[in-house]
Amino acid sequence: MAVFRVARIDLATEKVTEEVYKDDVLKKFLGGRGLGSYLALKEIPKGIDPLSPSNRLYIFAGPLSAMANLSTSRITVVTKSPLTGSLTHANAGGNFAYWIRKSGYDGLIIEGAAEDPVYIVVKEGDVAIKPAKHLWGKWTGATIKAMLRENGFPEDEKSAGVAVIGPAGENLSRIAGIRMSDYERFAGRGGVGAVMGSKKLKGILVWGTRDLLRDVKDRAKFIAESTKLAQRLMSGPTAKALHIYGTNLLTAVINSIGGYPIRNFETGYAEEADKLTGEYVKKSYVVETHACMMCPIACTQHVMVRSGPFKFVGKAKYEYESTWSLGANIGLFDPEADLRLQKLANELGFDTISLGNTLAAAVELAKKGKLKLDVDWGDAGALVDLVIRTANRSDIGDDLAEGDYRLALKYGDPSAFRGSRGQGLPAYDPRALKGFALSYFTANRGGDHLEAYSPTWEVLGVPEKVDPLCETPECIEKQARIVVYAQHLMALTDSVTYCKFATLDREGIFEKDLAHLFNIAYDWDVTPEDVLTIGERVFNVERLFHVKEGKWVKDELNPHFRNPLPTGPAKGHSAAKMFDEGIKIYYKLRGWVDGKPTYDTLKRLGLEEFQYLL
Amino acid sequence: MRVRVVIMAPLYFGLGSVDQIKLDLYLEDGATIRDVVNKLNDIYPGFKNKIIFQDKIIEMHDILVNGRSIDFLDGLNTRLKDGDVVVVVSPFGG
Repeated sequence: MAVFRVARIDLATEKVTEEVYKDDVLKKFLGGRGLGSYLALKEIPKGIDPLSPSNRLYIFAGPLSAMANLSTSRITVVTKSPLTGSLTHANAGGNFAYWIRKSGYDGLIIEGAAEDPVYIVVKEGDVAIKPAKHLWGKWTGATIKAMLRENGFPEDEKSAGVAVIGPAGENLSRIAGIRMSDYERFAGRGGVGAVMGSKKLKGILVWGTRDLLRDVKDRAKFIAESTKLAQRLMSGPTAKALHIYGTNLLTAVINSIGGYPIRNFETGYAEEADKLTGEYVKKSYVVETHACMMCPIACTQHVMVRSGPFKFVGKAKYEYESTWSLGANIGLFDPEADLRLQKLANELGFDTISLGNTLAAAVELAKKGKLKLDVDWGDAGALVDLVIRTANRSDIGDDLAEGDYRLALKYGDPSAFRGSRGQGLPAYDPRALKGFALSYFTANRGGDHLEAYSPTWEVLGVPEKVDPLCETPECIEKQARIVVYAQHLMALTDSVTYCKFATLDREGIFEKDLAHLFNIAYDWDVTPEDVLTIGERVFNVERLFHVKEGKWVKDELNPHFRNPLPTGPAKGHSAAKMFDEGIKIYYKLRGWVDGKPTYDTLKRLGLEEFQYLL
Repeated sequence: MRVRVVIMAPLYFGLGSVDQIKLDLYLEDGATIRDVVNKLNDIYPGFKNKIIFQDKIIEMHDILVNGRSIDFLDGLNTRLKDGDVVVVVSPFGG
């Protein structure tokens, strides 16, 4: 039997209660994104302001988190998003999931709000709420060090799990994330950092010595089987390439096929992107390769810029998405300025993707004369200054702190927003990778590549290869079918919890392997189909949150992507046909009408308790 | 004719460079991707086996011609023309 222990912490009353979830709930939702979304749907009152004390943060590991060397140290944060106004989930690697489970709990629910800044310490099952006035205003790296020091740990982020916000979260920027140890990991999307800030919660430290395998029925068999899977995962080519170069190998690939968004998705290709590639950055700035706790892939690349106008102190974690959002998408092709912006964003506590989206929207609005701002594409000095002003909400930064969607609306040009459901898009143009025409605009949290990652099948060919530019009825049907499958698989990974990088390779970890591990660990008797259905159930629960709020129910293509790409290898392609025709097939496959699950679908998934929402 | 070849992730392919390898190959008219791979194998002995198995591109690897996967062109028999850009793609994740 699986047991999932949660500490519910009310910051207004400082009351802590323990809740235990068992097989009846876990077999339906697992932990992480699944359990978080289920509880959020049940508990968060309709129509509340996401930045009010009524909102809740569900910070959950999963029933396999940190129990096997399978990239399972991942943590999910679920809440009502101040950016989109509906449900969001944000996910981070590092060591927080490992240490929270060691601390005696598998998850935390944070409700209410403190009067003055506080931080939470969970050690060996005990929860303490400590004053944090002296930390308010500090950048994220300094905060983590101070929290470790004050609680008797070495300043090395390996020594405990720490989650903090920076000035962006404190100042309620709707694009603030939560930084996690170890090192510069982020639960980034949806403005989850602002929700922490609204609760005057500066940070959370977790540590303990609990036996992670204590509920496992046959631990020798579990260790043997999970080790076999880890070896298989490591034998795959994707793990090898990720280990050597990290995620930023993608710059060269996506630019080559013409899907690399340049200057707020103006086009999909730029010759100048060469110096932003993972290969160039590895050669010039990478100082070490790093791993999340218990991950055999170890894909993280740490960089340093030691001289020049954009040098910074210490190392920074950098990724493909951040390199794009704070580089090509704002017309910036100087790698040192780009890495400096990434370091700054991590220290101030931003979601790098949405920060880049917002800067890009601001530059576009300024160029159109709608926003009075002296800035141009690639103007590194002005952009660095804007980032700091955004974190502090000083002058125009107050508008940028609201995010790209609100900025574009305020300045009278909604077309400057390139996203869905109120959140800006990541680093792939859906006109060149048409799987994204469906996956981006059906993603529950909006503006999202990780609810169904189309390069997996459009370039890597897993589970089967689909031409990213093909628009025949057969291709559209295939894309819709794979997007639905991938959305279930990704919801599953976030609920287990394990890393999506373990699903990119034919030698990766899929529903069959997970069913096998659950059956060994908890004496369950689940099939691969049962496990995949959990993903489908979670996806429907998230959609029901939109239904409850009456917001973002119908899926819509952002009008910008009806325009053809003007240049590059995918010149002339748009996302219109794939979306307009694919969405009909997608709804049919899902058992939805106009973005809304039907009663029959809820019944099939065992979600009748929410039929009152229909 | 001249074809520009880019090998991404050279370390992954066991080549000595960290940064992308870029070179111009001069080929006979009517040359194909197979000719490019053979030529690369002359320059980097053993390279062919890192990208081709049983006369097909190894799964999760790719070769692009002007941004299009050869899987959607004519595979290894894809004919090239002067000025084409050929990119050898390693696996990735992001």
